[in-house]
Amino acid sequence: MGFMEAMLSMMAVVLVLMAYLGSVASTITVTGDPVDPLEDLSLEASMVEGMVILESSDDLPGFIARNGYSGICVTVSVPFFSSDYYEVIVGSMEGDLHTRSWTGLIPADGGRSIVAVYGVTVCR
Amino acid sequence: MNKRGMTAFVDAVVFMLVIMLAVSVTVHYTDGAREAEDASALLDDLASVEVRLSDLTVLDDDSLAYLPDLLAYAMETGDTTPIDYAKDVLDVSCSGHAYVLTLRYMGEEMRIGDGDGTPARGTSMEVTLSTGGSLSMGLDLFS
Repeated sequence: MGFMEAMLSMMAVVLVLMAYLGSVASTITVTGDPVDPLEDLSLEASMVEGMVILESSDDLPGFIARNGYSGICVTVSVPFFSSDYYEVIVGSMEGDLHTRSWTGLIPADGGRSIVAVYGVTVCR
Repeated sequence: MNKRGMTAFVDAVVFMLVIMLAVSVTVHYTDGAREAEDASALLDDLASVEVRLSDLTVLDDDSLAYLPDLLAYAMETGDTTPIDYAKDVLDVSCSGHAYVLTLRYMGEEMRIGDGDGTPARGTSMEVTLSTGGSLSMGLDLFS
């Protein structure tokens, strides 16, 4: 194999892989991660007399409309301290479901501060 | 190595580099879909939990105490309720992913959870206890 053939084959490989990387990048840009907008969703809960309450949240109907979801389901559970959990569903949950969960500290009776697990499922 | 062999070698090296670049980009974006809780935020939350002594111990005392104090108490006395609380929180928040919470206090070590191998994420912190001394907490999350 001569030098020119080697360079040509290398160029061919580079071109094909660049096309592949380009297609991956454009797909990511177009679709994005469906749960990315949840980074901006603010939820605050508390536990009163053993009951979990979602104190405040963004305007959920507005949130799903802004981000192109057909529905959203928010759950708040408090491990160990309550077998009860809070759940609210807005819109329709029929379609592709994407879930993200995270923890946060919430106030409880008697000045306690305990861990709550927020789970949000969005439908697109 | 003659010129022909050298050319083929350089060609192969360039080819492998480009392949590795493509694979790393693809793996990076695939890994982004993982839902596991961020280890640092979760450990911070655990260390900041404040409950009544009577919530997690046999003591009939409604004074507030931080969870690290109670975990140290559990390691010292064998009362496992504070450990059970930490385990409950991790079970729910890690939602099926393996984890290991490692506690070190007064020369003793306790592992909570059954993660094995190389953790996907991990963090550790040293917490000063209200009774003096410190508790070392480390959290590893697995894929």
